[in-house]
Amino acid sequence: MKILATYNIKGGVGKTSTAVNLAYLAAAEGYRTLLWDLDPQGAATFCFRIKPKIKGGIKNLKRRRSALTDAVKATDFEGLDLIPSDFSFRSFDQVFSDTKKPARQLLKLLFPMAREYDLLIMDSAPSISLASENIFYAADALLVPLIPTTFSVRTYYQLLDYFRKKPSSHLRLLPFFSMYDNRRPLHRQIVHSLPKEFQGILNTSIPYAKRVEMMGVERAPVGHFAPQSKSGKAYRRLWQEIRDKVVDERHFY
Amino acid sequence: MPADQFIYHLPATLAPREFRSWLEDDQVFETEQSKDFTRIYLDTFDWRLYRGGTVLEVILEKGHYLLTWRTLRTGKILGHRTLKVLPRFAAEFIAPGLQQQIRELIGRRSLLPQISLKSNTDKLYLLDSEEKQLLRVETRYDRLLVPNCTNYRVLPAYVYVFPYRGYREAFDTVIQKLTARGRLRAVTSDPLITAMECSELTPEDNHSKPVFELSPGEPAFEVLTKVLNTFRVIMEKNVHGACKAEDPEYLHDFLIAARRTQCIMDRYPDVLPRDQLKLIRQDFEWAEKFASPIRDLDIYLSLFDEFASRLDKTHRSSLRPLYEYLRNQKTTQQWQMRTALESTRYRRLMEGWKRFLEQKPVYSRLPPGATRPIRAVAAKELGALYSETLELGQALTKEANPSEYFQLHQTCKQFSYQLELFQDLFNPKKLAPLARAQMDLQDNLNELHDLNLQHDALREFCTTMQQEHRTMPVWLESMDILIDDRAREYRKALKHFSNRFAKLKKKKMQKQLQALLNDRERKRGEKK
Repeated sequence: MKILATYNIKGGVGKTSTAVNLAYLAAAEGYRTLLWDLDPQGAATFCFRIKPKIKGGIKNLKRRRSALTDAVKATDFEGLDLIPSDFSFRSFDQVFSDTKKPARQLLKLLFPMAREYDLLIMDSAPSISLASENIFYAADALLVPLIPTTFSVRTYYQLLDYFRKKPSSHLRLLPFFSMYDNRRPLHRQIVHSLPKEFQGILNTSIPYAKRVEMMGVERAPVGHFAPQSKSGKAYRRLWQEIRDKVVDERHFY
Repeated sequence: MPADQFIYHLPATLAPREFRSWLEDDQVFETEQSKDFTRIYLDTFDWRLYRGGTVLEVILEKGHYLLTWRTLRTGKILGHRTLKVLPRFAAEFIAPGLQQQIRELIGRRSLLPQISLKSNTDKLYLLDSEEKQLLRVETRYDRLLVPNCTNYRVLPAYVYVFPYRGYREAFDTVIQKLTARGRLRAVTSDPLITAMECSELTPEDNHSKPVFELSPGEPAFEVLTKVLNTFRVIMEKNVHGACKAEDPEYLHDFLIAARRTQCIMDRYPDVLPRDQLKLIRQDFEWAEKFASPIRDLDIYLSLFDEFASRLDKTHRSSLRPLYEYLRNQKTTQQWQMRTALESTRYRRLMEGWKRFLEQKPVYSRLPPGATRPIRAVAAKELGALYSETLELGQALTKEANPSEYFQLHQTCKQFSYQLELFQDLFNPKKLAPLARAQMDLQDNLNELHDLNLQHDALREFCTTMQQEHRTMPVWLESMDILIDDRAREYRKALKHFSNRFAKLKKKKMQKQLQALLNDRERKRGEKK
């Protein structure tokens, strides 16, 4: 099972919409996909019309490892399951801080499901905490949505600084531009200049589009209700790029 | 994702409205307009998935193929996939989990649409207060398209209930409603079996390996012509599929039958009239010359995952030109083979061959061995092949080149063909150790032969690309890595050779074989 996580220290950059759309596209392509909504706000869970509740909350997950398997819910889309968010996820750090090797707890929880799915996508909350350290340890790649603005880019520098101090050899950073509005000069300038500064920024940018906002109204991924829209196509390109880079490295011949 | 599937018979007398009223007691169901779908059951030509106790069902919907793989007996779902193209090989399943499981059952065989149905399906979704789906109920009215006919045959109707993971309670309630007071009956056999019966398909008969019933006292000529005729039928049965490149296994079976035919022609000059068969034998060799390279290319193409695993990411991209080169080669060779196997020469060969095999034998015109009992002839031949194998194997020194191993490989293969063919004439328990030792050696020689062929093919590719000035440094580097890798694997396989050969060469084995081959002859002589 490959593990991807959408992550950014900053909120409102498009983590949830990326996680939801990528999970939908992966499942549509035949990958047995699991989406874990780790954000206590539960936006991804809401998108799939599932109740944001895990029996016994995070404490139960710590007590009984199989509780996570029991929490899995099927979505309305073939091949895509979800672990719903729970408000108790906000106390992840408190619950797991006293355990042995606290940064490895998330991965431990996932062991029983490793053979059931081809791909796990985690939608994380915006912070840098024990929960995020757990995500860094478990994930194969971190998808970092960047709005082409100074503040957003600044948080990316902070993330790079973090990994400079605490290097993680297995983890790949895959930043990409999100909510890109090409009518704004600053967006254009950053999209043009930043890839020269950092290697590894993905080629696909997700445009700022009302279709993405409509996900909350339609309660479905863009790929489902507007597959031919600009953003629907952009997410498809993004998925293909990520799939070829990380998920299935055999897509070369 | 539905976790399981449960199938029920839908009584023909039950009106859809009544069925819905059973369901919609106090629950909300959303109805999807009833639609006509094409439903296909995919399997290999020899029904590997069915034999493995599974059913692979495909529904064509909105330009996508929805695949459901379930167990034959319980209907338990093993996998669900949505694909843009109908998969032909296990590798085309994209997602690694399912790909691996299907590959274990079908190997390199391709999937063919075995049964096609027209299906009118009503879908009902049970929804919760958030309009989230909790389960799906489908009523399917299938019609079977009769081949070469415009008519449809109506099949029994079914109800499929798809529970969703995490919503077991809803599922239990619905099942209770449907089965209460004997309303619906669960199916005892999968709908595929009913469809198979209606299409008069019997997968049990489709064995790729022929089974012969031989009696030891039968005249050798009669037995051999009977065997050869079976191989002829296999060739006839597979030639069309091989020409159309529907499945590599058609070519495989065609080729094996052709090779075994030639082996028998060569090995029994005392039984078969060599002069009469001279031209036929030459024509068989001519036909095989076109078919063999394609089989090799099929194997290279199926090896790409292994090649890829030997290269790092930068070098992997250079596999594309190699893949295209091999594909182009295959297209050219396929065309040549098709031309040859559809030619008048091939047609005449098969007609003449059939005439020869089906004519009544005139023993006075046949070699003296034609009337000898088959057991005696087979025993002599097995003994001779065993000695030849030992002789060739012992002659191999440490410096022996691949062509010397190839000679042994060919003899060993002939030995295995004969062992397989005549095993029933001898005591199977006593023959087993020899057959095992022979098979072990054969596997090793097969591996050596394949690795050597791959090594040469990679070299040839490099030379061709250089001649055509189409090389890039990274391609050459990749090819060098792969060539070295094949050479290394060859050396690794070679290390096992002496052990395996020693097992076959054991004095005990020689004595056992001698006793086994002479056993009944001697007893029969004593009786007389």
